[in-house]
Parts: sequence; structure tokens; C-alpha cells
Amino acid sequence: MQRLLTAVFTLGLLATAGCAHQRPVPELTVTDTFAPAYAQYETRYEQAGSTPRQLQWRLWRDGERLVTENLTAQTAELWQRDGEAIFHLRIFHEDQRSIEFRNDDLEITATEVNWPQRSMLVDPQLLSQLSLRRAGWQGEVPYRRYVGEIDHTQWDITLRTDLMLPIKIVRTHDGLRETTTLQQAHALAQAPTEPTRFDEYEVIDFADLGDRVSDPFVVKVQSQLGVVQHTH
Amino acid sequence: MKPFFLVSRLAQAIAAALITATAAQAAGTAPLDEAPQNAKQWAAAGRIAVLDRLYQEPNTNRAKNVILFVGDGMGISTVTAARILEGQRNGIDGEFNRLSFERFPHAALSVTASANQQTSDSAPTATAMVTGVKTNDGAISVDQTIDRSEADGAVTKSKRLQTIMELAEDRQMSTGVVSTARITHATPAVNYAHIANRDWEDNASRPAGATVRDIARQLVEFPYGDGIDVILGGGRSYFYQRHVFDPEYPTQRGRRTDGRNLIELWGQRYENSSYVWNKDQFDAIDPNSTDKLLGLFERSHMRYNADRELDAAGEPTLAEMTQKAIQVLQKNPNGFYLMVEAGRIDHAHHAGNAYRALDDTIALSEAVAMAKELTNDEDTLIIVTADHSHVFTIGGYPDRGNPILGKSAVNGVPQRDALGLPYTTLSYANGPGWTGGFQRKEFLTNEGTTPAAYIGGALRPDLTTIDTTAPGYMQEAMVPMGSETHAGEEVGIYASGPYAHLFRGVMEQNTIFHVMTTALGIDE
Repeated sequence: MQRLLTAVFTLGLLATAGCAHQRPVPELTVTDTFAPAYAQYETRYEQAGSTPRQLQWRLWRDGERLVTENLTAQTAELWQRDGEAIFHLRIFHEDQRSIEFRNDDLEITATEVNWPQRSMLVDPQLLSQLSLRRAGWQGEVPYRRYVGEIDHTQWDITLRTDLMLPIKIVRTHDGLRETTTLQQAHALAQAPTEPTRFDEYEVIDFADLGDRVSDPFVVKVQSQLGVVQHTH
Repeated sequence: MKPFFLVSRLAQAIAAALITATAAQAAGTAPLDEAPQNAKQWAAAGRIAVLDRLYQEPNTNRAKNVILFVGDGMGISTVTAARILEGQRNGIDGEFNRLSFERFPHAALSVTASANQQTSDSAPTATAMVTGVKTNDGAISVDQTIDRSEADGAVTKSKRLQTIMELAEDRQMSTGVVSTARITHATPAVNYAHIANRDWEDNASRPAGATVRDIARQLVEFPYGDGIDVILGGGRSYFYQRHVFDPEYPTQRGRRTDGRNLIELWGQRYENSSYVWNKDQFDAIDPNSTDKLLGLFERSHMRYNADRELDAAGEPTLAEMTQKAIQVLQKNPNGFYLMVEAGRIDHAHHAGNAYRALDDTIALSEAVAMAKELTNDEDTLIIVTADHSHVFTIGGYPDRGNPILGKSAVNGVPQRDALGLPYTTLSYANGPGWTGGFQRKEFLTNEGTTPAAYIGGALRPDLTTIDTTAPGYMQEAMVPMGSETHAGEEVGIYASGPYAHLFRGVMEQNTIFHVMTTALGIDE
């Protein structure tokens, strides 16, 4: 399906609002492939009456393979494209186990496979619904900032267009403010670290979860995996 | 012996004439395969059904061949819903439609409780069917005295239960096992493996220090007769090493860490053998010149039937695998034993996806029809059953003919629940489709789930604009669970051929094995 997204579309062609820099800002051109990159983020959750919490996580993006690692929860995700097939792993480092989803499982669980979104960490369709507030340069980094409100959620997204990764995402809804901030980013070849290895972990097919109820790990992660259907 | 067992050939002929006459009476307005439209036709159809049964004569031929079909998780409600769906797809009365095996002359109910479970998993239930002995959860053809964590090869051997496949091989019969699940999965594995834990499918999944051989290795090293003749299913990655890349998915590797490539070892062991992993290779196999056939069409389970055509390398249908298996096996004048499993009915139910569960059930029905076409009742016992049921139900009061995957409706008007909301005919007692509506937050940033909010603060979603017949629709469930569960009520047994008449009443599941050995004339 994601192959269909090879149709290129361009956002923010008229990047003039508030542009203070003389150099032209590269256009935001979304394709199906992205430059290999590494990034580290912090996400902070704030809500009145609650203690703020935050987590650290990393992304390794390499062509047909995306790995995100949650340093706080000791979990990770792998998205691997293989021809028309998609392999998705949810990885639990503390248990040294992984759960594998294949195309059919992803459809059944209504898990969206939006490769540009997975690669950019933000949905380009969402960006297309927001307003371009500013385009410019921070040093040698070109950026574009999009803002707006969709379905009672306020968005403020700043994207660096050289790596096609967000510098900051602020999402506010129902009194919850979720701020994701880029801490460092590099071309993948210059990544300061590699993902925690998981290739030796036992991999459980998602379809087998229902038949592994005697496995304490499966019992534990069932609720974490959650359910994504019933958006109706 | 009951009187109807003594009916002569003459009586049979008379009965046939009666049936024909009655049918003719009804046929003026309603052919036998169409649903009756009025009281007269219903009465005639009922009389025909009685006459058909009244003069049935038991088939006491010695069976040359036995085919055991297992719909994994195919409870009674699944059969009913699949029957209706198949009929509706074909533009006929779904309620009057019958799946191929529902037309078999004999049926019974199978009690699926295992030695230690009220509601069982596939390992002990399938073990019961192929060994004649009930055992504990997770156990693959070992008795109930074994601990599920027992990894010692010698202890395991002392607990082993002889299987129908082993008995058949000892009698120089040909044997085969076909599944849409991994061929090392519990139901197919009970035929050829003996192990305490169904999850030990490859060497790396066993606990450290284990001496019992993993399931895949036991398949390839099967020591009875001249080995298993036909093996078709999924689970390729369990047969080769971690450094070996998959032929269909170049980014993926095998699972074994013991240095064994079991596919190569299998090829070295058997002469005149063929290994295939895609549809083109499968189609190219000439059953007349192939004595041993190994087909592994996916790294893990094969695709759901509904998704099969999306597979880049191509996969055969269950009916096509059944056909090829029978064609290879029936060359042996001593006969054959074959198990065919529709393994993914269970997986779809676990995922709360009725569409795929029913579609795979229909695929099983087509496989059974293929087997009937290639064999005859005089010498082939065909049994169709399930290992266990699922908490899958058909509810409401929809009109006859209402789309089985749709919302319960009368005259096209959806019925309403106590909240005033429409609901589907099919639902689950538990599972991921919980009525409260879990929504998963992003796994990366928050592993928890949160209840979904519905319009107006309702306790259920409003399905008014939802297409519940879509393949991806997840039916609602009462109890929130990550996976929907098995159910404990009986499942059906449908049979034709020699000694099929022994299937009647409510039977313990392990009796299936004893009927098979009786039909084959095997002295246990």
C-alpha cells in the first residue's frame, strides 16, 4: 500500500510567511524513500493536576528499515519493508522477546502502515491540513513550522527539511500538552550509537498470542499491545 | 444392533424410490437444493430427510484410507455462520445451504475438555484425536503425567503416545500432513512429534539444556516406516539456520541455532523427493512421479485465505494442497492416512475477526469437497471435526437472509440494543473487540491503552455508518482481552465412509482415534 505513496506531493510551496532569511528554504517534498538518519528525542507530557512525565527515545532510519527505541520503557519497534511485505516487531528488551506482525496482522489490528509517517515521525497528510507559519534557517538547518487545530487538537510542528524529521511537535488536547523535542540528529553513518540488539530474541508470531496464554510474557504484554479497532 | 442396520438392498431400493417420489412431489415448486418456500415444501423436505436416514446402511468395509480434517477452532457457531456466508456469497439461501461436510451422512458431538482443562488448547485436543488418549494442556502426543516444562528426551520418550500416523507407517501405508498453519504447530505436530511443550517448535525455543528434540527436527527425522510422504504448510523459518536468508523475504532469516538446515537434510534423506516453497513450484509437481513432497509456503503461518492472492510468491489453497497430497498418497496400494488442518480459523477468531475465520472455514469446506471427489466412500473414511470451539456467537433476531456479517436487521431495519444502537449478528464473548473500546496509544511513547470515547458518552460505538461486512471489521466483545479465547462446548464430528456410522451421540474426543483404527482394522 505504501508503494502507492510514491506519488510525490509538495507542501508549503509558498513558503513566504515570516521568512526572514535570504536563502531559499527547501520545499517539503514527501516521497516514499527517506535519507538514512539517526535522531534522539524527548517527549514530555504535562497536564494540570498531574506530575509531568517524560521519556527519551531514538530513531534509526535506514531505507527500508526503521527502528525506534524507547529508552525509558526498554522497548523498541522495527518496521521492515521487504518487497510488498511488511514485517513489524514490537521488542521487549527486558524480556528479550519480540512479537512479530505481518501484513495480515496489521490489517486485522487496524495498525496503519503509513511509511512516510513512520519515517518522518509526523503524518504528511496532517501537515497538509495545517498552516505554514514560518520557513527559515536555524544556522545551517532549514525548517518549516506548521500550526493549526484539527478535531479539537492544537498542533505546532517544526520540521527540519534536510533530514525530514521534526525539530519539535507540540500537541495540545483536553488539557494535555505533549511536547516532543529533537535533541540531536545526524546522518545515519554518523549515528553515535546503534539500536540495542534484538536479533537473538525469541520472536512470537502475533497470530500465536491467543494460543500462548500459559506464557507469562504473553499475558503481560497483551494489555500493552492493546487494541486499535473500534474507532467506530 | 438397531433394526435399520439390517435393512436389505431391496429395502434400500424401495426407499430410494420413495425418496424420488417424494422429491418429485416437492420438486414442482422447490428443487431439493433450494430452500422450501411453503408449508407443503417444508413437510416434504422433512420427509425426505427422514427417509434418507431411515434406510441408511452402515458401511462396514475395511477402510483403506483415512482422511482427518481439522478446522482449528471451528465450533458449531463457526460452521453455521460459514454455511450462511457461503450461501449468501453464492446467491442462495444461506440458512438452507450446507457446507460440503455438513452433507455427510453421519455426525456426532465431540467433548473437547482435556485431561486438565475445562476449555482446552489445540495440543491436547489434537493429541486425543490421533492417539486415543486425552492429555494436558500444551502436550504433544505425550501423556498427562508429563510436566509441561519437561525437556529431557528420555523422560519424554517414556511418556510418548503412539499416533495414528505412526501406526499407518508401520503398516506400510503412505502418510501426509497438510496445514495452513506452521507445519510444526500443535495440530499437525501431534501426528509425528512427542514433546511436553507445543511451543518448542525449533531448537532455539527450547530451554537451555533440553535434550528432547524440537518439533521441526522430529518431523524431518520421523522414524516410522519410510517416513512421512507429504508435508505441506507454513513454518519455513523453523527449518533453517539464523544465518540463512529466506527465499521469499530476503530481509528475513531462519530461526535455528543448531547448525541444521532441516530442508536440506530432508532432501538428502529421501530419494525421489521434492521441496517447494511457492505456488509455481507447487503447481509444477507431478504427483505421479513424486514420492516425497515437502512444501513450506511461508516463514510462519500461511496467509489467511482472504489474503492469499496478495502473496507475492503465491500460495496454494487448502483444496489444492489436499488434492496434491491425495494424488501423491493414493499411489500406495496399502492406502494412506492424511491429516488436513485449516489452521487459521483459530487465529482469526483470536483476533476477533469473523470475516477471515468464516472465509477459512469455507476454504476447508472446499478442501473436503476435493477429497470427496478424489476418493470414494467404499474404502475411504473422511472425518471432519474441530479441536475446540471459540466464544463466537450468532445473536439477535435478524431476518432469514440478513447478511451474516451485517447488523442484525428486520426488513432491512437494524435492530437496536437497550441504548438505541444497532449491533451485529456476530459477536464474541471476549477478545480485542471489547465493547468499551480500547484504543491503543502509540506503542513507542505509551504502551498503555485508554478507553475510547463514543458519541454522546454512549457505552458502545454507533455502527450506523460502519460497514461491518468489511474484511477488517472487528466484531464487538463483552470482556476485554488482548486475544479472544477458546470455548469449552462440544464441537461437531462429520463423517462418511467405512465405519462412519460409529460417530453418533456425544463422544469423548479421543474416541475419534479408536474409530479410525477400527475402520482401518488396526489391532491396537
